Amino acid sequence: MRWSEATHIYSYAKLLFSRRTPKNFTWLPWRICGLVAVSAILFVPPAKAEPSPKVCVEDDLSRQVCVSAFPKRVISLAPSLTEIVFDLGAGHTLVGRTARCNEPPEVLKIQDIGAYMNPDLERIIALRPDLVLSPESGMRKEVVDRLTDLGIPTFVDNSRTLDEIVYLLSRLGTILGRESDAKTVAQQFRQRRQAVRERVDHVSKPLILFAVGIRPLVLAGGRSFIGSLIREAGGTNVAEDATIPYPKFNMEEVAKRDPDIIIVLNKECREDECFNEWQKHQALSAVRNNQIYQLDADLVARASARIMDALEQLAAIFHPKVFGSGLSVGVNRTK
Amino acid sequence: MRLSTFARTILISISLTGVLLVVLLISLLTGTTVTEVKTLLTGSVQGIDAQKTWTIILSYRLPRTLLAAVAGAGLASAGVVFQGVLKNPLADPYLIGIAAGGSLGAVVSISLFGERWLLGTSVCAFLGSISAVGLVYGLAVARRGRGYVNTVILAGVIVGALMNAVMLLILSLSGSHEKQRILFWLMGDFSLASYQQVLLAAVAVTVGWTLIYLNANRLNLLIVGDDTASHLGLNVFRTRTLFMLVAAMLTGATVSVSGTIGFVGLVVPHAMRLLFGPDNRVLLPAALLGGAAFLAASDCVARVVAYPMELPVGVITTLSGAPFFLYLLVKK
Repeated sequence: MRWSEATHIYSYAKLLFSRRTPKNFTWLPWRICGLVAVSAILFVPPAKAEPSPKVCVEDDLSRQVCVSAFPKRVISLAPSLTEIVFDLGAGHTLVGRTARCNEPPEVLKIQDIGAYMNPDLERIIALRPDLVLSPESGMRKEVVDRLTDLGIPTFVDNSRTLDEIVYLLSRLGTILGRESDAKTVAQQFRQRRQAVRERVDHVSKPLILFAVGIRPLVLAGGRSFIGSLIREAGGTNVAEDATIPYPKFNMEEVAKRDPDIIIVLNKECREDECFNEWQKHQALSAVRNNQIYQLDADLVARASARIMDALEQLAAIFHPKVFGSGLSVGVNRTK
Repeated sequence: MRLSTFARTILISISLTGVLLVVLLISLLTGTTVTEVKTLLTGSVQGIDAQKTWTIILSYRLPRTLLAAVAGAGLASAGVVFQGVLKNPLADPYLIGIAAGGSLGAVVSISLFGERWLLGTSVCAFLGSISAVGLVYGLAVARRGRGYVNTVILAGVIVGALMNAVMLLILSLSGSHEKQRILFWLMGDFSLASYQQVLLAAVAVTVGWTLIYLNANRLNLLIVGDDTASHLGLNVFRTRTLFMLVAAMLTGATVSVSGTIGFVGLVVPHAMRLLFGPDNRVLLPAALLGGAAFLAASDCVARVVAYPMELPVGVITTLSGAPFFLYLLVKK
């Protein structure tokens, strides 16, 4: 209801129900007329905007998100979602992205709407989006609620496994009107995944330590997205039994379990810092055997279609004999 | 028969040393199975496993336990001094902005410089602490000692708030990796202690504590009151400056190696005072040993409770210290 309508109704009501009736006010018919008018305003639904076909999908908060077909002004609130929008060939519909989005390179031309996890609501609204894509983890619930209240369709994504990414691809394909692209991408996704799976299936699984933080030591546990990648790539996770996704882990226990391969992220340290840090732990056979690898954090931490590159890299690190040199490994190896 | 202060000090020190040693031993052996201990003691099996157990104990468990003990000793001793000099039961090493300064230093180091070299964060945290205290003390001196205690406390709280705000500003602008590291730093962490850190902290605590202990009588006088103390021939201003600076140095050194671990500096001195009386000649050794035992035990608990994950030690100190302190408060 608009504000002007509300004030009208209020003044009507004041006039009609005030005890002091103005002189020469034949009140009964007027009051009836007024009541009819008020109820007409209240109960007659406002005229609808011109109907347009709606597309609805369910997001990861189990809400129906409906947009008019082929949204043209899309805002992505996570680097992974930005990448997926481009993978689906809908990059031209993006009008807003986070400051963290850096892939593919043309994304940098799109206006940024503030920091990842801390977007600027005003900038989002000013861009008049017809669809906002938001991650669930790391995003304050209030942001999503506010956008939804403003009538902006907001799709919330909480993909944590490869299967969920495939599901996400199909839903985003539907809502963005790029179903055939989504099918193609998902198909490639499945093929590459299957290829890795077949090759690592029958070989022994090395013990992997995947450090997302080194001081203090924070590992990717079995319940994290990275944890599922490790399983998929044919590795056993040192922190498989951790009850939270990214536990601060006990160094003694690491020494006891003695991983074969250590993986660190490039965001965590500059140049060779991480390697040097691990050199202190000569008790670990991974350190003695120079099995420390550094991966691109943007590659493995983002649940986008590029995650297949990460999976193949991991598999090649875990099973050099199986993959040999057939697969180029984009990793810095320790000296 | 009433014992002399000296005899009491000796007795209390010996018994608390016993407690500390037991805590250290328990902490060193927790996480090791009984058979492993037997193997170590008898030396019967000279296999790879015995060697591995030794490595784990010597290169991971011992340094962190020692660092926790040294940090606890430093914080508790500094707490005694701050409570004495400021004559305020709420005073602790963090009240006058030392923790905030240290945090700011660490945050600057982590988010702006990365961690270029091992002790970079420690050095920056130490510099941050010292500059916070310098600022607060400068303000107190600028007022020429008028309302000294209030000036120090107020200026400390304000300087602390200021530094906290700057720290939060940097935190909000930094990436998620740095954020995570900073958060863990703020909650206190011994998990990757090195002997280098232990050595540095131990030297700082030993020197600082000795200086304070040699002046324990003067601290007693300060508590009686500024006027009385100066009538009795004490240079109040100079003595206070000495105490504050040494205690700040102690705290800064501790914070720089362990992060900001709350509650130890507040509660251990009070607990020791309730147990052994307010005489600083007794209190200082008691706080030193009690603080060491308390923080080493807390670190052991933090390490073991959610094994193989770790909890922040600051949470354990508060969760275990608060009920114990309340019990003492009601009982005594």
